[in-house]
Amino acid sequence: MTAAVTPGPPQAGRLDDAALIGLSLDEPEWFAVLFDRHGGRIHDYAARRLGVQAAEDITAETFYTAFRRRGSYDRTQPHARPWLYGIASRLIARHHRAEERYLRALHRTGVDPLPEPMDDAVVERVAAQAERRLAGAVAKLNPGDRDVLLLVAWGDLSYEEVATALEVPIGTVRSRLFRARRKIRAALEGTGR
Amino acid sequence: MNELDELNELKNLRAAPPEMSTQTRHEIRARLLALSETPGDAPGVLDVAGRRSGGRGTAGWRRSLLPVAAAVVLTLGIGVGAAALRGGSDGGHVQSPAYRSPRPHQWLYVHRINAGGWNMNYWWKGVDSKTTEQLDTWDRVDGLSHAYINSKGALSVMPPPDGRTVRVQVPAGGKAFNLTNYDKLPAEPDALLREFYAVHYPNQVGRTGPRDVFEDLTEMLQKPISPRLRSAAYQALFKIPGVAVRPGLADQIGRRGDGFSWDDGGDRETFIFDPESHRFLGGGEDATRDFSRGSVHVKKGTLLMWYSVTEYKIVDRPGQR
Repeated sequence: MTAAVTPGPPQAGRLDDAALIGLSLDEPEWFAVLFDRHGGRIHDYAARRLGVQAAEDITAETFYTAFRRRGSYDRTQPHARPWLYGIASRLIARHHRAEERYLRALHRTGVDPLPEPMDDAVVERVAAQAERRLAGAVAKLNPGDRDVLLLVAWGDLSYEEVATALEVPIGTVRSRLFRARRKIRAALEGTGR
Repeated sequence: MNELDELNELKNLRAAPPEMSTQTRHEIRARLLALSETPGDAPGVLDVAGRRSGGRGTAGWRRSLLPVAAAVVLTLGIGVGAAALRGGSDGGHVQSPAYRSPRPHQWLYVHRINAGGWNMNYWWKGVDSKTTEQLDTWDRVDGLSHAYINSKGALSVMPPPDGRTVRVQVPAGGKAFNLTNYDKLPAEPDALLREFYAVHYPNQVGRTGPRDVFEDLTEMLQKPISPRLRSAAYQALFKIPGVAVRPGLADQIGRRGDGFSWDDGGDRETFIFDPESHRFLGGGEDATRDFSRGSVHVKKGTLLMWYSVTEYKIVDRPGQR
């Protein structure tokens, strides 16, 4: 991630997310520090699901939306990642059809259609069998189950954080994750259950 | 298998995605700072972006890019992008009868008219078919570059010129059949279906099914192909199990044709073709019943996307119409 220039005083690094958001209510430029902290992660998550171009839009809109809604942020929660991932998840949901097609294409052809970095020497990589099985299984998941699974696996959120992000009870997170993992495991074992 | 294995496997899938570009980072940050100076940008107000302060708002600033992403999907060979001949049933320009496969370095130009009012923050509320937005895109035939007209009206070509190299899509879409070899396909419906059902990629898991064939055929029908192949592909659509045929359906600008739909749990995707010329007119997505996508609920009857394609053709460079 590229280092960004912070807009606020140098003590920004000592403040938690809730404090930054609180400050931004009166001095909105503080909100840019939140973007510096979490923008890269949100972008990476969206890029893994939908590719770089869509990820740029989703990252931008996630933070604009968060900025507009910062007044309703629960400042007893020191970490804003679940809130930001929740906003991003709602934006990503619009593209579920494209996402499933990307995954199915990887599953069928062995070539991931998502944009990826390359240099002159890179040749098209054909995915391994396990990777393709995995992509096929993820494509078949119910979108709600997929959100939970990928927020855990790619977003590194805890169960509690996923529940906050998706605004569902933690029991729902556990059951969705259990279901999703069972299907993924079956695909990896080749049973196709 | 160890309990954690599947999560570890998943963590390795698409690991290390490309970083956000410096230019994008600066643009988003600058916009956030600009927002902080916008009068009336009261925190907590759930406003519809783009309607504040009378100008292009936060969503509008980059709204043009997501339809572009959809256009990238078109060339991937797995998307809902669009390509049709000018004028639909009005007898406009049609591909040359002496059809020749385009060369890899040529470009597919598409002019598309979308239903307006789309807002990515509230996408589940749908679009307004009474308003329209226009979109021009160019995709290189070999799939290695993509271009579009950005929100400032300038031509933007990917990969971007900021030092990173990004592969926009895999060569020729990574599919067995694509613009470079469509002319080798049989121009007879049953034979064509056999070809598409017979596609089996090395190590493919599972068999190629009706949905795969529907995607592949409708994708081909959005490209410049020979009239004979177009006619065969159109007729083949009627023979795919699970495809609903909807005669007399209108595209975004009111041209009527035969719609072919695939309903995925209430989320229905449709492609409309002129019944005589079999030209692609447009299509879209709507909700046939209430359905959920994660925490978002889409109501039955919502029009999620609707569009017309009024022109496509092979050109020699991006920006050429």
